[in-house]
Amino acid sequence: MRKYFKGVVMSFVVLALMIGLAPASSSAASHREAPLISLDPTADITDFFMFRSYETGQEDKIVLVMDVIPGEEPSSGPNYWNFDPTVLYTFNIDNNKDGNANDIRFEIQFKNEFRGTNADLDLFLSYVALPPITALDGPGSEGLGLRQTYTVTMFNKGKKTVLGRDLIAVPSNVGPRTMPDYESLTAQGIYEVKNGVRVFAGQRDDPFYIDLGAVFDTLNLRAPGTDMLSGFNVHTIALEVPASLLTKDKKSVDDTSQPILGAYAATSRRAVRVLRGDGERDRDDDGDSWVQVQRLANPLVNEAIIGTEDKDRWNALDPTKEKRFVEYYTNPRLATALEAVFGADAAPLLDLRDVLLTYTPGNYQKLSELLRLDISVAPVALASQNPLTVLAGDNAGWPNGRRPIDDVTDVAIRVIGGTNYATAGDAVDANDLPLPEAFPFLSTPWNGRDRIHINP
Amino acid sequence: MQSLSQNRTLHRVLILALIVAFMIIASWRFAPAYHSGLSFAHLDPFASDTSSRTNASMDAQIQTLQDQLRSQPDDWQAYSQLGLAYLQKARETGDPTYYQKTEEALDKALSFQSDDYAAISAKGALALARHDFASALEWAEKAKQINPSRTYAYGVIADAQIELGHYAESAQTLQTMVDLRPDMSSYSRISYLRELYGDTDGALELMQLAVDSGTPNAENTAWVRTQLANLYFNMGNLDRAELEYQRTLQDRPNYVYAIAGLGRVHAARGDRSEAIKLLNQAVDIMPMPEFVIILGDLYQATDQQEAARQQYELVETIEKLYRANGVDMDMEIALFNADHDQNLEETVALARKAYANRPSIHGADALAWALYKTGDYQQAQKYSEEALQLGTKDALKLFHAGMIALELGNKVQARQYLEQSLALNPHFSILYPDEARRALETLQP
Repeated sequence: MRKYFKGVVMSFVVLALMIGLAPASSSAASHREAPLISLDPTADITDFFMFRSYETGQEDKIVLVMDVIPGEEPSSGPNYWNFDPTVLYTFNIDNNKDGNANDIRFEIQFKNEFRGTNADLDLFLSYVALPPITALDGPGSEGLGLRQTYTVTMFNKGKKTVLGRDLIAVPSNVGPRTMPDYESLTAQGIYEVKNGVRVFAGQRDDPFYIDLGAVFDTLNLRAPGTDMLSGFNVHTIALEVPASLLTKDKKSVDDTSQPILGAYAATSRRAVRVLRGDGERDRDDDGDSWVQVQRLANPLVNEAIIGTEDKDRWNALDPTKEKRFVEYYTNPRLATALEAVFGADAAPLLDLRDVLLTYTPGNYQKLSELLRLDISVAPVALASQNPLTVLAGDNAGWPNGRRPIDDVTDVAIRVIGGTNYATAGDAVDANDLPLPEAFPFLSTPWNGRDRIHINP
Repeated sequence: MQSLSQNRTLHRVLILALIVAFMIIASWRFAPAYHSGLSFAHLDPFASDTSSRTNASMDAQIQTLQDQLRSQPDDWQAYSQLGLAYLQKARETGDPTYYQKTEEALDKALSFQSDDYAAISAKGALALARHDFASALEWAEKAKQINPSRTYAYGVIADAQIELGHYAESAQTLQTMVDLRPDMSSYSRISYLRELYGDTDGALELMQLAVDSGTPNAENTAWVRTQLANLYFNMGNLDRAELEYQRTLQDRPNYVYAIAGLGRVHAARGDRSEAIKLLNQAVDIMPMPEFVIILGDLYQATDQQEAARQQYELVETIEKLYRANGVDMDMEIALFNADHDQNLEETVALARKAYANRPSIHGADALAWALYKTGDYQQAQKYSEEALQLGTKDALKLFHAGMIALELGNKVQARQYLEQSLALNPHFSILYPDEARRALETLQP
């Protein structure tokens, strides 16, 4: 019992180690106490998915999804959550297996459109049912006091194509009076843009699932577990792209000779010169330069593999510079932490570098942390997908790309834990809402009025 | 035996698995700013988007950490976090007694782990709060040595450099910081430095960018929006200032800096009774010296001498409280005394001491004004020039320069300064705009 308790205490210590500490800024009298920490959820990518579409008739398309803003409380009005117009959201793709995801890039940039104060209320509200919001534009859209529009741009080896502009992001799901038919708003928010690409940006249910509450209660486990992220939303950017637009030889999933893609999602903010010369402006319309503030390819890497002290540096660097962090992969601190807690050996089933950092197992000359997808592997229909993916013989899931259904927590535990952990898991095996089998593949977000926090 | 051992293995596997999941997901999901390298969501009251619960949750955090330390008295990270929690309490309540507690907790953490980045940079932040900028710089430099890729220490370094008058160095620090990670923390500091250099448009642009990069409803977003409002106020744009204060209050109705700012807007428009009401509200929430002083000045301006005296006495009480908790208020008190013609001889000595510790343009300005009040106009001019060396568009400093020039008989210069001051912001102070206008009248050619 004592040992068990010690383990629990240690796990908290390890947690603290991994998350790091937060010196808060302080304030006394009159000097300027600017914030020392920027909570930055709008630049915080919670998940990145890439998979071959399993929507009927769309199997020759590749889907790219990033979720941002962790743990959105559905009722957090009146401002609700939005994409960040000061952030550049990108998907970056490597199609020639050189590890450099600079072959194709999609950039998504948002703008806020304040459409004025509602005349009946004489008060600015982001969303109000005067009349109910049934459209993103035109009649029925009057209640959208704040509307976000966005541009999607594709760069192919530097060649720029604006795929779509003035697209409208689907607003947060306020509730049935304000938005009586949210599904219809979602449908309106799916755009077919140039080159056969479809896009969606807007709020979704957070597809991630984990029984965190039981763990925090001193490992007070239960079966079945409760999805701690049930009832929380995220903001999602989803692209559905014909495979031939991504492959190096511009051929389809079946014909291409280079079916392996690598990719990561990133957020960036504007670079700034501290002191400007006379007449110098901060922004040129064409000459913007950006600094990457976060990247995400494989789940776990940023959070559980890279050490807290290196996270800023890691996030800012290009994935091709991964070699300098290789120690984290060859000597995973998860294993170290487990051994420190329990004194038991932890033996990953395989070399993490082979899965996460290279196209050719055993070849560690060039390392680049990308989510890799073999698009020649046929997609599996949603109903037949196995959340345990390759461990259960479903090769169309993580780490071959990643689908929303994939239980990456359990897969990672079993892979990193090794043979002793073949049945380990947290007893939460599915998202709280069923996943749809069509683009954008994530569920309708919880609405602010009806969501209550009584589980399950 | 077999089944017992299997059972134990299973138990262990389960725990291991859950710990892994716990660590992965907790750091993944519930530390929204983990990538800034320094955050502990459960300690950070601003991680919650429901700000009204902030205080309660902060107290709960402190309680939890104290309990934890009772069972694990050598848990240095818990001490670090406790220190940070106290520092946050000080920020939220304006109660400086938390500084002592912060210091004790951080020192304890450092006694177990002398090279802990978080505790060391928190010591820097504590020193900033206490206006011990030289020591803040030292701590933060040390943190930077430990990890030059985290941005937190750069923020502390830049703040300290600015207060110590090392402006060129602070520009370099901020360039490094913003190149590492552009965000609200770096943008808002760059805005301030540009403001000091007289680039008002550039300052506005970056403070707006800081606001736009902020999390809705977060305290630090409220803080930068209040700064944006102050910038507009200092340009004399009362309407825009009011709008930004109001927006802040829409998100956080009790945000004391915005309430006080709104009070100043009303005072500037001549509605002093509304201003007094708002400043009283601010002081009731958090008796910050600068609010108490403005309130006293408002009472004085409306001939409520007794009420003014009470506020001025309160300033002295607060000053003693701050001093007892290690906060250096020399500069603020020197300026206060000079403004209110109190203890003028001592005040010059106090201002000299403050300037020695804070040789910034603010320190130079306070000394100049104290010297002016004692009739040492030559010396006053020297420091006033220093206070304006960066080209800062600060109406109060320009007013000080104008009055000094007037006494020295430099009429042309005096007129220039006073005109500039009033043109920048005709409402730059409760006390002086009329005096500035009267002086200008005597200077008409």
